[in-house]
Amino acid sequence: MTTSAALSVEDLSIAYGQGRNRFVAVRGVTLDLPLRGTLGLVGESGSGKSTLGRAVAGFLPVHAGTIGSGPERPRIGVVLQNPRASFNPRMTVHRALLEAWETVPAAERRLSRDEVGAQVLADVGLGADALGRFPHEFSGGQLQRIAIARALAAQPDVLVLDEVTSALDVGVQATILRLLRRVQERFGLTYLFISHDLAVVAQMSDVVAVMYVGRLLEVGPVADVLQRPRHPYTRALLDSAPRLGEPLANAATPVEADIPDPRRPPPGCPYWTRCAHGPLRHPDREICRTEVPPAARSDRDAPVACHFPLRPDADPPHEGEAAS
Amino acid sequence: MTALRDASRARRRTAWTRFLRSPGGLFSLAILAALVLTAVLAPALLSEQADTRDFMSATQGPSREHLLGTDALGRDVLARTLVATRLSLVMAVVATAIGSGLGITLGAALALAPGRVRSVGARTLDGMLAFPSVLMGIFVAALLGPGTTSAVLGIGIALTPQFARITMNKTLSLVAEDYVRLAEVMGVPRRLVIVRHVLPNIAESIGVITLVTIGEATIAVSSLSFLGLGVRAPDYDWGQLLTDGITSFQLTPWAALAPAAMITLVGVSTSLLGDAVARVLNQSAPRGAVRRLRRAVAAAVPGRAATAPTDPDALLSVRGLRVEVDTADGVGAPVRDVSFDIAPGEMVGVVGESGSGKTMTALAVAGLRGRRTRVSGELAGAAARRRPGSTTPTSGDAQSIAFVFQDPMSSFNPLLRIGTQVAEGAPRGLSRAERARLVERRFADVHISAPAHRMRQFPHELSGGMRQRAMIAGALLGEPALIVADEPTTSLDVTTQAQIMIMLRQINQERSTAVLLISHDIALVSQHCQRILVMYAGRIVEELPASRVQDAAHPYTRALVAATPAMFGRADEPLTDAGPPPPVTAPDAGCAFAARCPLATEICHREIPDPTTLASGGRVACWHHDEAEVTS
Repeated sequence: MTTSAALSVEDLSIAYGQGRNRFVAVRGVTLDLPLRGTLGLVGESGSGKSTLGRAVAGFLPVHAGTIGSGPERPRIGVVLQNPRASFNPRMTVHRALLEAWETVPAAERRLSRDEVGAQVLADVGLGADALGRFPHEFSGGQLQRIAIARALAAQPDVLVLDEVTSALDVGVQATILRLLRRVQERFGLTYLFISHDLAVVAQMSDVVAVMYVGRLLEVGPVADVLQRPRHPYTRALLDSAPRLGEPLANAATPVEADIPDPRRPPPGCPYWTRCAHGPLRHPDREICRTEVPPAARSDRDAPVACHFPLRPDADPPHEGEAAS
Repeated sequence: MTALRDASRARRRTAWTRFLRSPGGLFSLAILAALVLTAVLAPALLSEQADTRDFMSATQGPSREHLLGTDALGRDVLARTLVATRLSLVMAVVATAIGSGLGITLGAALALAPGRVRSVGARTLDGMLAFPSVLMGIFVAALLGPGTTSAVLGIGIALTPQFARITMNKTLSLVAEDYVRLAEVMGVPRRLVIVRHVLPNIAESIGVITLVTIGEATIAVSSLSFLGLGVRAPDYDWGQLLTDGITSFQLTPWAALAPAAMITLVGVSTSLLGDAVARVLNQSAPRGAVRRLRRAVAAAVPGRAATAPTDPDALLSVRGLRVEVDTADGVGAPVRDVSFDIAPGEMVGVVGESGSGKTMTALAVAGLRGRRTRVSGELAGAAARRRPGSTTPTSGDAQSIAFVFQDPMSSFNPLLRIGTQVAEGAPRGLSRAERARLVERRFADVHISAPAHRMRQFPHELSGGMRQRAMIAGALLGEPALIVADEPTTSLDVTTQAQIMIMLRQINQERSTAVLLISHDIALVSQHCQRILVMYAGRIVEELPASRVQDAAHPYTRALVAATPAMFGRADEPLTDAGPPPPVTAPDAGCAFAARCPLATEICHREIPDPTTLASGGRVACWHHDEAEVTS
């Protein structure tokens, strides 16, 4: 692990079920979460991104590999997609916040029992009048704020944010994203930000990791991955994402085929069945069908898992708008 | 804090009122109260009368001294029936307490036990549940020997499996809830997780079931006594009175009918009470109203005077469309005075956040009917003439509207083959084989691989993208002039979304089929449509060419655009919080966006702005649209 990582995931695999029903959802993923920064994890359904997040958060047992950060394990908090399901409907906001606070060892508590409720609510922009109320009295956006407040009450070092804005309208999403950035800066948090929406990930992340059918295909600084994607899948994701007032970039969308069933991934590279740069379009690229490319790793000089990566200098998409 | 307490008290009060107003609520409560009162008072007041033997008047019918007659020993039937209430109810309650106590403990223990123990336990419970509780009671009582205690124990044990099974199922589903898992992951001790998160949330339903079970236990215990396995003389309960009464049924039917009536009364009133309580509890879940609203689908009825004449050249011309829905909080109007046109072959987007009325507009335009919904306004144009459910007679041409729903999984019947279901939309008068050929051709049109094979598959065998393609293929069967697509790609992955949208645009261009695309995503709509209608709180606040989406005139559209995350440039620009729109039941009072609008002045709160046509080709309904560009 590198010294600037808050948490390292090393060659992680996670499997569900046993025997014939066994299904490997995450295969050999290695990642560093940049200290006080954000790793954006993007992927489509079946990519394994949420499984990875849940494993980091401690929901799931690790099948192979490690999740660690050296001698002192950081405190890891989590916020999930559906704020309604994240709260006990019979518990007031105050009790929910106190429950999180109680999990902090007494010697390390920054706030006293009396102050914690009002303080963490203030941190997420809500008044103390919310304390005595029940979850159903709030809108989805307010409740997601409270979910963030609860995570803060447990004094985390790392927050796993799993599709936290996917259930929200775009206006509410914007305020939640802004809130998350502010909270990160203020408390020096490290984020694992998981989303299917590449534009949202682009807004939030320092480092972007792209997953597909359980494997990590590309990882790197946000500017590199989004402006000079080297994996054809990353390129397809970028070109498929709707962009305000721009025609859809038709050229690089994948071959029309379904995303493979992650229970039965294809042999070789998981993406060859849809890849516009693979054996379907280039018959000489047979290797894609038979050999799994070496995994993408953030800690080595191998940011892309592809036998025939796109050249970084070739035809950068949307060069004109590239920001700093 | 007092305000809060008042609020929660008020909430409790409304639940209570609702309970009393429900059909069975008051009735069952009154009867149970009377029964409990009888159980408390009758033995003290009527024991003497009930035990006095009067051989002179034995086995007699109703008289003034004995309202329901006498039994074989000349004792008053009414008094004995009433006195027996206490013993009968106490036995039933104790049996239920034993059953629920044992069952809940067992069920919770099994739910938290390791997988193997749990599955063996669950199967054993299922086996025991197949046994009627009376049979089980007879078995236990026979083992222990007849008597009051053994009857109660027998029924209590017989009731245990059902409590255990329910508790186990409820606990298991709760343990999988996000908030329970979150608490565990945070490191809340397991004991506290169960006490705080699991038990309170199963208590409600278990409570209702316990209530109903008291009635069941009354019948079961009485049955045992009736069979001579329960209460023995000189004690008596209803079951035993029934045994006595039945022997002289020909002479004094009331001796048997009275206890039988009491047993029935307990059974009926407890299950009515259970129903009423369950209904109130379900209603207090706040989601009901929203779901009802979503289910309420609109049907258009031409009628009210429109604001401007319809456009005769339009494929579809909508004027003054209003949709009203009955909600728990009164009549709501999710669509208010909506007017727009669609030209032949045009692709128009409707954008808005949840609750903006965009889906209701789409459904009303497509003429899909729903309950508790009223639609008014004027619909004209070639497409409107042959809408499904239209009252206007069809002119015979193929001008019609087809609808594509968001979730292709719930729109297909899981038990029917895809091909069969899609073929249902084929024009009438075609043979089976012709229909199949037509479907196959349309499947190929929407790029479904191996169409003949896909047609024989069931919905769950297709991916979400394939299902949506199949639904679009079905929409194309009738050669519609307009396809109304409600969030057609929202449940799909982004790469699949792009492919479906490209396909939809191909249909639009190659067949000149007009498309009304409903979406929450202004970026998506701006990529594919020529024109965008922006909806807020049931009204179209702005209509603009897609190419001008970055230069919108309405402050709401500008906020929506600003809030949409862009791929490049980590935003230093402020992300605007548009806030939630007012509820559908809110009265028309000025511009609905005024409360959150940075430009709002006094007139905005007072009067609804009329749409103004702009030089850029758009229309905007805002008092301050000319200032919007200046301030930003």
